[in-house]
Amino acid sequence: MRVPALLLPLVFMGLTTPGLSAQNSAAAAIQAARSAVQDRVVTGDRTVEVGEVVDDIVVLGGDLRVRGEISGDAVVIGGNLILEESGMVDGDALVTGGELINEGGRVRGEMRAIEGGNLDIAREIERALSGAGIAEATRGTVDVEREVVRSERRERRQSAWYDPIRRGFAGLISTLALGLVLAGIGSVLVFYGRPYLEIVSDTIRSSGVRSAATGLAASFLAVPAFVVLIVALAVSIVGIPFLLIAIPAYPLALFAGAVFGLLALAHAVGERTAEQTREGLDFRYRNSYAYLFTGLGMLLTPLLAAHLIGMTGFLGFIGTLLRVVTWMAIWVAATVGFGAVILSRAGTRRTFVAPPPESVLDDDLFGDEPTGRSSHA
Amino acid sequence: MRKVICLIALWGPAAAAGLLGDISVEAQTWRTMTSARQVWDTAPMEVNIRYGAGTLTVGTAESPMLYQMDIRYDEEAFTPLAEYDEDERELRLGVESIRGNRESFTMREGSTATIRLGREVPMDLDLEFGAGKAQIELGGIPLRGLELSTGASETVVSFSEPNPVDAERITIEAGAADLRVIGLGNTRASRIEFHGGVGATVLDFGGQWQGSATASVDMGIGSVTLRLPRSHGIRLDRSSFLTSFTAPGLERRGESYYSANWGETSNQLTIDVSAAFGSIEIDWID
Repeated sequence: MRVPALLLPLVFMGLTTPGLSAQNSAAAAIQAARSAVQDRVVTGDRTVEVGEVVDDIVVLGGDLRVRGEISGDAVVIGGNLILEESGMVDGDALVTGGELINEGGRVRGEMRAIEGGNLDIAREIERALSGAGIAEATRGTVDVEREVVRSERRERRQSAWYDPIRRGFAGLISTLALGLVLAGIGSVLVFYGRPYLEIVSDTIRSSGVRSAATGLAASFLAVPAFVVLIVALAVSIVGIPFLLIAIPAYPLALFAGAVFGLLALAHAVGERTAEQTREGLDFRYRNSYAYLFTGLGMLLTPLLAAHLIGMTGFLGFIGTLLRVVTWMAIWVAATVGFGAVILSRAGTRRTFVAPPPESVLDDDLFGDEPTGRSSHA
Repeated sequence: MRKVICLIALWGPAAAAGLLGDISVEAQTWRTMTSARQVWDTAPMEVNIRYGAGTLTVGTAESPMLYQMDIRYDEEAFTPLAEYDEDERELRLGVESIRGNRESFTMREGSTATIRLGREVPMDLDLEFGAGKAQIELGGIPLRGLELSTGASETVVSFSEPNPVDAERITIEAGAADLRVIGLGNTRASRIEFHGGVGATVLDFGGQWQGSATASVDMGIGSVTLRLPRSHGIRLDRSSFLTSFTAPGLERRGESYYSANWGETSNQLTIDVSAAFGSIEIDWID
């Protein structure tokens, strides 16, 4: 992390890091601070000899070797601080981008060394210079400095004009990724367990209100049931090991049920849409994959629209509102779907599915669809 | 099926780009910081250690160090904490979360802290550890008092050497933790308290006791194992609900359980155990 001496002027000018305007102001601040403490700043290696007493000292791009006494703080940036046995620092000994090697010397204050990739040397120099004149600045104002760093970060986050676009783009990507993940899970579900998915989907369509009520009740009862389960396992010695399985498995099962329900609801929505457009829709698209993707698209499209609206900036509140409403709709969909999963015992029972009309059963298109429990038992 | 493949082909790169984008947005900026202070006077002080999530190691520092701390942290999520108030005789170490709990937990992977405390200054230690793994060795550190709390963690606390000073009280709190406390006898504490939430806890009362002591063990859900020294006279009072209790070597007299040598030894340990669901086991150590 050492900064070559030749690069130091560039560092001072703020040209080694991006952000020209910010760096110009930083460079100006550095220059101002530097002129105020010119005599305390050293570029390159420096040794404080035995018997020599110096005040605060800042060493840039070099090593500081202390054999004598530093009555204030010793700051080294881009180098090492070597404290020999006869060396003494009355204040703090601070090293950024180097090591603090104590060979038996004494430091009355804090000995601190920071290393890491991507250190902003210009900022570290600015900090050091602004603090070098006052010993307390590096000793007792940690909170103030921290707050400054935080506010800088806040400003960086808040002030950029392209922030709404960046956030909107990130939202679009994350929504697409969510859709892709759901579509992937749904495809696997259709491929390997289409009858179960269809039974849950049919349950939603036939007993929507009942599914919603069941899902809502299950949402409220999930936590108490979890507690009861834990207690039931904990009261018996035999059950205690099963706690280790039950504690992660229970929320996982709930989550899986909700995802299953959401996909089934998407399937139901897609199927319903296909029926509405029966005349215009090609038979090739009247299958479970198409239903599922149509339903997911209908669920997630408002979310994409919300992010697009949010990218405009001035219509951000409409985007936020639409996003909240869409997420509420997704939550309702997951709740209804979860209720249907419970009612249909994860798609194994058609108890709450209305029998299909005879005319539909006669249709060749539905020939491979399960119409009764026996068809997929 | 062809549609699905087309869909994946279209969305795959976008999703990958999105994921990469997320990663770059949330890129971690790791820093390592070492901080240390030397001892300049030996008046008692308060030491507060806060560490949210990661791997924490606590041990002893050699003279003339008051403390030494090496931490690796993500600068975007945490701020190192090394503050010393000479007037108040208070030392604060660890890390602070900048952006709240979510990041603290998502970015704990790779965060480490090693904190060593000196043996020369008597201290009241308050240590809070959130989630992760902790190896806390406090043997030989002059503790006047200890308050230790852990969250969802796997923690081992040990007192391998006797405390050079008498401790007034040792308090340990655990949330959902797998906790082992070894060598409580070396704490030289007259009062030991443990409050546990969920998990498995082992409390080892071994060590070089300097006198009698009382302990209270309050456990929520889970198992607690008490490892008791045979050389001590033990009295155990239990109040529990739906909790199994295995106490070989203890004899019930009235509402309490006693070891055979109760009243015959100079060192006596009175333990008050309360537990809700789970088990209490007694092991004997020589």
